[in-house]
Amino acid sequence: MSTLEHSSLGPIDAETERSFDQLIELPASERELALARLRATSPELAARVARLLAASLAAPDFLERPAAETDLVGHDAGPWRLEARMAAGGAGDVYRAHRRDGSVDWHVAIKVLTGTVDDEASRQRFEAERQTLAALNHPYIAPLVDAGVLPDGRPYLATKLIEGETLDRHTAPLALEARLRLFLAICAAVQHAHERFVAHCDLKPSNILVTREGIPQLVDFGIARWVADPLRRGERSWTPGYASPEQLRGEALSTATDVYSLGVILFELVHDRLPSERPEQRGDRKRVAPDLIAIGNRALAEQPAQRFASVERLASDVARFLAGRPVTARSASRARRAWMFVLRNRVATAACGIAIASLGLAVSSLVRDLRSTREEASTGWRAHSEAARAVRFLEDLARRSASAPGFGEALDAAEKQIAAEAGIGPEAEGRLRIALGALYLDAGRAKDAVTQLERAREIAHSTPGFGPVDRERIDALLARCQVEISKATLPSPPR
Amino acid sequence: MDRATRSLNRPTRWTTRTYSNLRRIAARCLADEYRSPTLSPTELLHQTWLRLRNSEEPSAGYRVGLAVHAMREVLVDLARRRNAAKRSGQRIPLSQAEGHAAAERDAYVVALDSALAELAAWSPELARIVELRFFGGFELEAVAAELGLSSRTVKRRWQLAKGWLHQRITES
Repeated sequence: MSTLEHSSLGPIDAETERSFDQLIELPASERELALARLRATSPELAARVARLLAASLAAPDFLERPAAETDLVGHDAGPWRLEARMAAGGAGDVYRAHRRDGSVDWHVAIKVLTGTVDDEASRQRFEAERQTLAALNHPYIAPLVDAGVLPDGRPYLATKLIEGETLDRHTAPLALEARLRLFLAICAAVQHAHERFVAHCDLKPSNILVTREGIPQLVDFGIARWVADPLRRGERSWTPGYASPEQLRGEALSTATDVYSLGVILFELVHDRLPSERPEQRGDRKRVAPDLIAIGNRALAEQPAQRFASVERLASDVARFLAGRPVTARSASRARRAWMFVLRNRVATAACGIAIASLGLAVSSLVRDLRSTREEASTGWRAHSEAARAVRFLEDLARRSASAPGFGEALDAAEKQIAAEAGIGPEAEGRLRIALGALYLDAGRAKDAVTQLERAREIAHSTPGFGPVDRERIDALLARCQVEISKATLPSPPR
Repeated sequence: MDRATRSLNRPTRWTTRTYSNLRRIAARCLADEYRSPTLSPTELLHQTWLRLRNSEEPSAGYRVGLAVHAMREVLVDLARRRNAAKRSGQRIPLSQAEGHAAAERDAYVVALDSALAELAAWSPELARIVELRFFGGFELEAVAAELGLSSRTVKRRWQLAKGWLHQRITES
């Protein structure tokens, strides 16, 4: 580019840079005014800044697509047509996509992962991963809709498309208490995944979207674990700033890794900066309650064993802080914490072995409990926290025994039981049917799942106890059924 | 001037050896691009980065800087070659998804490379941000973490650098 040599454009001086910095952060409407004001005092400076601003803003796409990038827009992934790329990340690119055959008119987010699935071993591993992710059913986790492999061997995951903003953007205008409440909701979702033996391993604000209704939606669950496969353990897919010390060292990952990343997120919500940043890098030092600092320190401990033993513990300490009660982070001694970690892990190990003999039996006792609580008090389902817990427990157990023989029969027995019980009330029935639908889907019986979910949907639309989150969950499960059914009926995946 | 840039300017034996290794790896990764049309720069960077993990140089920031710099050279070389091939009427294998827009990008990558060299002469930091973002494929968030700056600062500086580079390229 020899023409460049005759250019008159020189370095940017400090004064121009300062003015540019001030003006670029203003909303477009105020920028003109500020520029006019600057023009009145120093016209030459104003002209320089105006040229820079114009050049910076005139071509919004300039430099925004990295040099080596090639994308998949216009290509297909299974039944989906990729229509636009939404983000690019270490573990793969994310696209907005729709059903090619137009059978449903909503959109999904498709993440194309790095790595290839081209032999039996990796196929099995990906399938196992898919099933684990499909087992996550939480209102704050973006549900998995489909998964498959592209013609070039790269796996993809389709999740519900979340319309929302990232956590950091959403919380910017919020007060501390609102931020902490949202943090607790995020912890609940991570805890749900941990109970199903899924660690996120790449928690950060950009993986936590918040909908217009203020509901958090965690995305990219388990992807870091897939990408960091045992052969290349921990070598990729961490995010500087949020990754735990053991992740940076390339060691095995565990739920303690998520506790650390949640600690970073909590720190950022409280201090408006990362733990790795010096206070002066983002404005003045804030006054922060010592209890919150203690919670942060404990979540961010260098050694996994020194951290909170679980996300639940971290969350309960934050909840204690919100309620004005003393937090455990300031009291427990180092030795005690280490001991608690060992104890906790022993319990978790034992829980893996649980398999229930008969799901039908569990359901019948559950239905009995529900009926009796309903007779005792005619309050709504929400009051029956015992019953809600029971459904969750049932789901947990059933998932763990999903591969056990007789699982399908147990589900059928449970279904009959529910159908025979007129007395349990529409809300309990609806929730049981959602749980059953999810379990049928896990068992590979998508058509039976549809029956349950369609019924649940009818109930959810006519019963006041169900909110938009419940209906979304039903629709997401139905969408997954759709995909499973269409997969089974198509002779071979197109393209 | 940060440590990475300084070290790149005064090559040690380690640097020279690693750097040529990196270039080779990056070039091979890009050659693969013709077979699999969808290699993201992040993946390319990771591939190069992996080879560097066990090397004796302790500073991660320095290694990332080196890897990104190697990628820049390979990408610019590639763009130059494709540009030349286009002029001589040779058929260029392009991925379907990119269409001929990729050919225009090649010219722009070459122009950007020399403008970036000028930028580096008076602001190594701005040039480093652009290098990480454009050639390394880093998100601004990751650039911020890499350089130990806040995202807000990096975003402002990125816009400043874009403004200057855009002027530089369009005025010629």
